[in-house]
Amino acid sequence: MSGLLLIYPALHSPQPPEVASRCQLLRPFLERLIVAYLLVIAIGFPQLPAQDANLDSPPTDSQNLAEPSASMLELAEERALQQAVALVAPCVVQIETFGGLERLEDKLVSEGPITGTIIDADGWIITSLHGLHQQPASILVNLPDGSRAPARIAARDYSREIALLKIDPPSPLPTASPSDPTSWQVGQWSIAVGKTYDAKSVTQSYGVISALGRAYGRAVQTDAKVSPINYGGPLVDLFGRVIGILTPIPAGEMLGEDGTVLYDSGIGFAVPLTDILARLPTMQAGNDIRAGKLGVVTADANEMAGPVKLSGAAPGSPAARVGLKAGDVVVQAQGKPIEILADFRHALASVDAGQLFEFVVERSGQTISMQCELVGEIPVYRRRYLGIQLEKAEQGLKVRAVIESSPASSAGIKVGQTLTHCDGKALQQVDDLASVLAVAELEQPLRFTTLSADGQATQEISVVPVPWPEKLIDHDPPALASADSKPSPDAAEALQVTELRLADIPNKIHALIPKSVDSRPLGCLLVYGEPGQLTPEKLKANWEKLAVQYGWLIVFPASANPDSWTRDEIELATRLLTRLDQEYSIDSSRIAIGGIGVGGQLALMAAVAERKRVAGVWTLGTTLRRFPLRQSSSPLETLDFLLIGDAQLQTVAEQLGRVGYVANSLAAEVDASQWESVPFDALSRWLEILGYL
Amino acid sequence: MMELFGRQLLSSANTTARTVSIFFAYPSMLGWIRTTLLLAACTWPNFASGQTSSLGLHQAAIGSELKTVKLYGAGGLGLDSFQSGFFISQEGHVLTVWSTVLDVSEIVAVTSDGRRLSAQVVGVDPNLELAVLQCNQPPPAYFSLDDAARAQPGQRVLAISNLFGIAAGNEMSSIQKGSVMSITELRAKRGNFQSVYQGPALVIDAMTNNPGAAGGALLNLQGQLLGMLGKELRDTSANIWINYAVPVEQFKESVNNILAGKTIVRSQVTRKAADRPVSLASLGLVLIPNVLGKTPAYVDLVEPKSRAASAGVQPDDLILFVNSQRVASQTALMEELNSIDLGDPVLMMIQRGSELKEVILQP
Repeated sequence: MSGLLLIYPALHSPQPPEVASRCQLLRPFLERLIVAYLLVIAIGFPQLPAQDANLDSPPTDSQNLAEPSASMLELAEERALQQAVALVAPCVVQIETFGGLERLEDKLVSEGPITGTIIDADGWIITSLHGLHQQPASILVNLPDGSRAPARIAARDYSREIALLKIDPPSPLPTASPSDPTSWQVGQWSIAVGKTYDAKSVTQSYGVISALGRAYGRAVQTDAKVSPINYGGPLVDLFGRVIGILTPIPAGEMLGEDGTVLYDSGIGFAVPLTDILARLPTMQAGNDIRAGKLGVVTADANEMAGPVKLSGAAPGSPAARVGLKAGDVVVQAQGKPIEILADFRHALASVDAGQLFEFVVERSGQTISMQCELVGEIPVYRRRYLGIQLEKAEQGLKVRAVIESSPASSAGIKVGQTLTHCDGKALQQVDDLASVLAVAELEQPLRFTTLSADGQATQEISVVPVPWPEKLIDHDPPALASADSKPSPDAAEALQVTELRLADIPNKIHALIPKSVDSRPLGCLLVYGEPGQLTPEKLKANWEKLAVQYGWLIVFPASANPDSWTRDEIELATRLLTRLDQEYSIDSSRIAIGGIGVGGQLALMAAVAERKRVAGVWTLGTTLRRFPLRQSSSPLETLDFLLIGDAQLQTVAEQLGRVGYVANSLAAEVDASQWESVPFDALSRWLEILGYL
Repeated sequence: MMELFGRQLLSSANTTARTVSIFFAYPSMLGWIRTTLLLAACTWPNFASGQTSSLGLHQAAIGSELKTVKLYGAGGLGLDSFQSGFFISQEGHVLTVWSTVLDVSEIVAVTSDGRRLSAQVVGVDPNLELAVLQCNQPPPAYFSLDDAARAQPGQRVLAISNLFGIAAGNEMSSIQKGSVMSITELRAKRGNFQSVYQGPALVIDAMTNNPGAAGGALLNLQGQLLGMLGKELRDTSANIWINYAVPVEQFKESVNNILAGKTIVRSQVTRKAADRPVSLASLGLVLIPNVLGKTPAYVDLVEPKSRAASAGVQPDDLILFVNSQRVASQTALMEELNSIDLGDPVLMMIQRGSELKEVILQP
């Protein structure tokens, strides 16, 4: 009986009552089908059309009788599978494209035909976005009867990687019928059908449903072979009904954005046809569909992390509009409990932009139900700019510096004033203002209450935050502008050159530790140099001015291997920054990582890993063509970039700028092995600005 | 449960119109006996255990293992030194793919019962990229090409090969189960070169496109030979690796010729450029500037009184097909025109707005 079960697994498996009753209805039909097949094979074996093609004689009676079960059931199964394919074949079309791009982001675009599935007699056809990324000049649909029809793209569903095409057929077309999602069971037959090799015959690959609700609930998974050979074609059940449309949908963080890497791997995806049909009117009206975005920033980006605690809402996002706050914990979404971040992503992914999303958060012991309409794009976060440096004072925040022609200077804020309140909120820490500013609307004035330098008069001043300037800010702190550029005679006492040791870490670490300048806490700069030995003398000669005059504690880990850095040494940054923060009074807004030559790669990776703590990262003479930073800038995890070196770095800086980072490039002839070529002036100024708001 | 199900089968058999008609078509006693035996087999306890359902496959596989060999020859410099093959005669002839592995004076063929045979190349077909070897001992079993079967799309198949060279000595080759996805003309390449064999191929969904699998046997579930697994190739249109076999009917005649001692020479199958090829200018066509890699063949200007003008071609028409060949870009159009003689008519399918038109540009 196991052979029969292969044909229709639902016959024997334990199942919920409602599914069972459906099976009861199907049972007589199935049994007839199976019996018919068995009898046909048993009696009419040599006469079957497919077997006529055998070049040699059919198996003899004695072979048949010796083992009636095995090959017969295999063949009965095969025939059932072929019939299912024959049922759907008239609804499967070949699609050819003409012209278009040759390459798409370094990848050669295949120009081969793709498959489409007819879902409406009037000429509506679903296909995969895979074959349309190159933006062809023309699209032709080859119908099973041999005729051709030009097609237009009616709409794209970017969330599900499919597209809707429209042709104007002379007569009604055969249409695929959807399979009922409630009947799907993991392990049941599923057949991937394509039509790329020629316009008249289909390709087929047999498999089973491997999983339901994959790719954050948007796809059915199959082990039938899915590739460009059948993207856009249907995945059908044993009755030739369409389970879904095959497409390389990105399946999750681990597998990356490009779903085609999984081709023929035993992992293939189909977007349920019922999900597509539910959105058909929207797409027929010419509206593209995008994944809905809420715009929350979670405290932990790890998918397995829970509970889902928010660290804020992106300005201008639906999350900000419904008033989500840092500290809120999402406990339920779309009626399902949320325990870890992956649950939350699942709940979000099946909701399109423009649809309502319902969820429940816990805020200081209270449970709040919320709902909002999701959007397709969250505006890229741009860091807000006031142009001031502040330090904690007795009654508020004291203005230490004001950048010329910044919003702060135009509003009349002066060095020495104290800011006590912003929009009614008392300012005690610099972070208090930073968090207000992070979610402040651009071009909307912020009202500050200020105290004069003598602490007597209060004044109301409005400052309008603007996006952070794209160009490098040219600014010297006032204390430095007046100071003598030569090191003072007591420089020896002003700077301590020492060696640090970290437990279990073999790397030698040199440190330049200045006395605090101007009574403000030190900034902390970690530099990954070229691999090899460092001497304290050379360090001091080159970096003393930056350390002493601008107030930076600078540490230089040396590579454990004199010839190269290893990826593991990225962790050094985490260990060192934690240690220094414990031992010295470090200004948390002035932590930076730098890299010289190949050390720049490590610096970038370390900074991204430590982006919560690190304010900026710079590289010098490091070759970068594309910086693989996926996440856009977010309000509470900003990271500034300064890329010094060849002219191509400008492109990288622009890429970073487009996703919201403050990134600058500086074209300079640099020899990574010679520190004399380091443009210390520019570097010092850029570092100085890091702690500014 | 089992018995109950068996009875249900019987009762539905008697009430099903289709089966009744079959019964009428085959009224002989033999038919009834077969049916009864079959249904009895369905109710047989062992049948439910799941062990017997693969018995047929097991026999097909084991029987075929004896007919296959693991081949070892030249390798190095990143090339593998092993591939697969199978016996095709009682005299110990082995069929395999023609490759650098065979570039040694003595090839070693290891049978599944562990015998090491010495083999030599008898003849090759450069067009099909196959080679026939002669072993120094008769085989334990062999596939007769005369007994081979013809594959059908959707048919399930077994592939037997020593992929990745995983088997050695008396170990069995590997068996993979899959199905025939399509029977189609091969449009594939190896590295940057077009593959030599461009004929019909059985595209299968078992992953046989791996080192060592070439030369293996493709069988139906009864163990009949369907084809020979081909070399590693990439599909040119989809840019993916494909798994395929060359069907027996494609190479049977050639193998028989080699066995008969005939030499097969490389045929020139490449398309010849016409002596006096037709050009865009001679048709009176000016296309939009060809600035992209795949600029579509949009017509910019049509010279008055030219061949194109008489055929009714207009500016902004998009040329899609020339003599039934798809031209996805201007480059493809030029290539196609190069093979057409100036004195011959040119058949074009063009798109004008959302309309498709066929035009003939008469000489």
